Amino acid sequence: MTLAELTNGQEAVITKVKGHGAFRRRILEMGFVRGKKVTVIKNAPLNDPIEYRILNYMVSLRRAEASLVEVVHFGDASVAVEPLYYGTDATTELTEKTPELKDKTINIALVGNPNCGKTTIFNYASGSYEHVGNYSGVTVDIKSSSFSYKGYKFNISDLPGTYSLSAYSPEEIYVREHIRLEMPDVVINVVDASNLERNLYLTTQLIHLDVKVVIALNMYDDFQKHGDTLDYRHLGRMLGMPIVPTVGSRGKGLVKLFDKVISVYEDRSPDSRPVRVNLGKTLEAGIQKIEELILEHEELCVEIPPRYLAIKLLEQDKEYTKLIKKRTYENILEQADVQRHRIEHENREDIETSFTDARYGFIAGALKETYKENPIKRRKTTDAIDNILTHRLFGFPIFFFFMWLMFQATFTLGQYPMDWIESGVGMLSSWLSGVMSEGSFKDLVIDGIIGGVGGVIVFLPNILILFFFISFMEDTGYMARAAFIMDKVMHKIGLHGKSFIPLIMGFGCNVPAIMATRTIEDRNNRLLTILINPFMSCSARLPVYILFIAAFFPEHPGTLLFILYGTGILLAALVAKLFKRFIFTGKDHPFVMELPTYRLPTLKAVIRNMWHKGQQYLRKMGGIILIASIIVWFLGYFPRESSSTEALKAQIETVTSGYESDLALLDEGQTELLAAQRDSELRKLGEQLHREQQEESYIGRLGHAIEPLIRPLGFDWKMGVSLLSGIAAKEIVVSTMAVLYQSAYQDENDTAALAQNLKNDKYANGEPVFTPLVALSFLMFILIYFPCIAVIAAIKKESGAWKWAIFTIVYTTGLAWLVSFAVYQIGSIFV
Amino acid sequence: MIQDFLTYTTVAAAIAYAVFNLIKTLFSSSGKSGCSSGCGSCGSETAGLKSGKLSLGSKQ
Repeated sequence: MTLAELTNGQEAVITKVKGHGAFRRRILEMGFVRGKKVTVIKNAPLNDPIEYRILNYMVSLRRAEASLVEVVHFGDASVAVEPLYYGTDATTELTEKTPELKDKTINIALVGNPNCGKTTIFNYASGSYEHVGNYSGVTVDIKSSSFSYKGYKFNISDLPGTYSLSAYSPEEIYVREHIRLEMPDVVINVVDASNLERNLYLTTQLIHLDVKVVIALNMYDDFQKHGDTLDYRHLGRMLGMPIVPTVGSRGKGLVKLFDKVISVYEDRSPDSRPVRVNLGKTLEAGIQKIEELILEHEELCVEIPPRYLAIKLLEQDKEYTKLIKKRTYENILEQADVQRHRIEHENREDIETSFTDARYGFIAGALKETYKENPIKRRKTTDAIDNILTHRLFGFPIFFFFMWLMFQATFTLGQYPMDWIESGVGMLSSWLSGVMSEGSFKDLVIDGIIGGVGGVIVFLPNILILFFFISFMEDTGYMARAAFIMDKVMHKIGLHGKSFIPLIMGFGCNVPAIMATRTIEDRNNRLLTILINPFMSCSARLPVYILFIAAFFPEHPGTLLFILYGTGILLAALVAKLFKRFIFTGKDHPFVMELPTYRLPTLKAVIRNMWHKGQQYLRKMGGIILIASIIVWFLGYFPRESSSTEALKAQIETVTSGYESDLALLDEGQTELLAAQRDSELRKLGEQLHREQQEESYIGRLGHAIEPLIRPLGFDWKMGVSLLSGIAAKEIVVSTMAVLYQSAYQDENDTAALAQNLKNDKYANGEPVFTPLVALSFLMFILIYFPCIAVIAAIKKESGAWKWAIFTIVYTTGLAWLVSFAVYQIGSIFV
Repeated sequence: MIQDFLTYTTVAAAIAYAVFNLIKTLFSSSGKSGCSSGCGSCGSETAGLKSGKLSLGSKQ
């Protein structure tokens, strides 16, 4: 809690003083230091300012200033330290001990360029499983976690990667506002050691923010391999920020890093000190003039470090200019204008260039003293690999080959564990069938739950294998190359490179992919990326693909899978082109894409990512898939009786009794043939009864109601119902089919053999329901139609309007119908 | 009789859960509701918030 939250008469002990520069210094001098007891005397009539007693004198603070002082209740302090009291003066003991106990929380923010390893350090330190990929823009939101070390509780926040703290992109604003408003105790600036100059640009901006910083010189092993040398201790002293070499992926140096964080937090590190980056005579003169004016307004200095604000106003930062305008500090803005014109006139270049040059000048100077490049210029491995993988001619074939390989492996390698799971499900079903007595609940458990969930769970190995490959490609840096070789295509369809990452993420799940579009500054581009994202085949569609490919296209599984994913990408491109032409017109924003160094990912990281995906899949099995299976079974099971089923039952009884009387007349040796004839007839009637019951059920009636709409696509009512259920989640298409396509005389050991049931399903006239053409048409529909409810909700949340969510439902389902119609009708001419 | 009772109870619970889940997904303030994680980020926020889970000293 803060001092501002206390009421009259309350007593508290100070645990932390936040704020910047002059305000912080002054308040500390006044005695507001950690461990001191403070009492609220009274609030002024309008609740501001508040009078406090500290060190036996009275002082008044404004509410805004008081909110920067963190305290704990004096009462809480008594309880916490009571056992340590051995007859010394209570007040003194309490005020000395309480902060020790209470102030052991260090708030850390991880800041750095994209793809410098922030999330890897975050994961390693906190034991979290945030997604890490060797391409920029993976972290789009803040991720927080906590861990304990050496008696301190660390609250660590992983911020999005940013190259600078200007107001160019949303993540830049996000990072700097987080630092300014949340005021972390220590900022860990993660710096890619092999890309020092560019990474230190952000560091020079952090200096202006007046926060305690520790630099993690990450990927230090790569740096050492290059043979370059850096006197990082000296560089740290120059920057006023201690530097610790780390290898985040292996956890090397992290102990030292967090030890350093503790010593900086406790003000025990001599290297951590405020420094001022000299930006040159012309700029410094301008900054000083504005800073002088800002210093006249103490309330501004409390909120924003004055030098930082002066620089931002000179740079014409929109956010800060708006803030100053709102507060009517016109004289500061006027001075900023005057100084800007003067600087631009003197330097003969725009102010942004002047600042950038000055910062890079400072970095160059600092590195000249501390950094030595290996004189033997080695041809880097990355360049050598890139020459092949991003080759003008071979780039695309290699990319397509890798994709094909991934799908082929997903299918073929997954087949073995798939069979094991399938037999496991069959055994469970058979065992339950033996131990449970006949009745509706038994049918629910075996046909509904085990049939439905078992039908989907068999695809777990395929999902894991696919994610192994995706994770591997992301971590090695190949995904960034894929973005690179696809960049021209992206531009052609009106999207820039930044859209590529959300689209790739869509292969996992469209929901985080849609959230990842937050890094796209331009609203039109962002909306466009959101709208085409559902065409990226998410992992939920994979079970449907594998089921149908295994049943109807077993000869070329990998190729078919590749074609399906490819069709999704192609459709996304075409739709994007159309939308860009007619709905989201406007120019593209420039985007410079970074190609990270190739890295061999650790097996642990790849497996962890894969396992996490598996966990999510299993959780879905126990949640939405289970629920949907139960509901679908119920709708397909009831009502049990109808006039036609009654008639069939009567017919079965008549046939049975007829045969029984005939059999009674025959000798024992002559009954075999007649018994077989009876069984065959009864089986036919049984199948008919089963079909009749399904068609008369609630789900059957619903299916028949929509059948005219889907008949031109080659679908029967059961497929229509499966598509409807797939609105909740695409895996439910499979679980619904597993429930609906069980035959009346199915072997209970064979519950999960859904592919076989699909192949055997026939219309009343004996024609097969599924042909390869119908299967292809169905797969196309699955690929394109209504993304699941969660995606629709995500589109609404991210676009801020229901209209885009509804638009997505309408246009995807409409397009799905058209494509499936074309596939089936045109295909029917040839097949 | 008991079988029917169990069946209707299970189905009623499933329908109630489905309705609850639908409302939660559509109207939750969290952008991640209903996300089935393509990148390991879903659910990890809560999973990650385990203070004291790791001793850094033992990792080096």
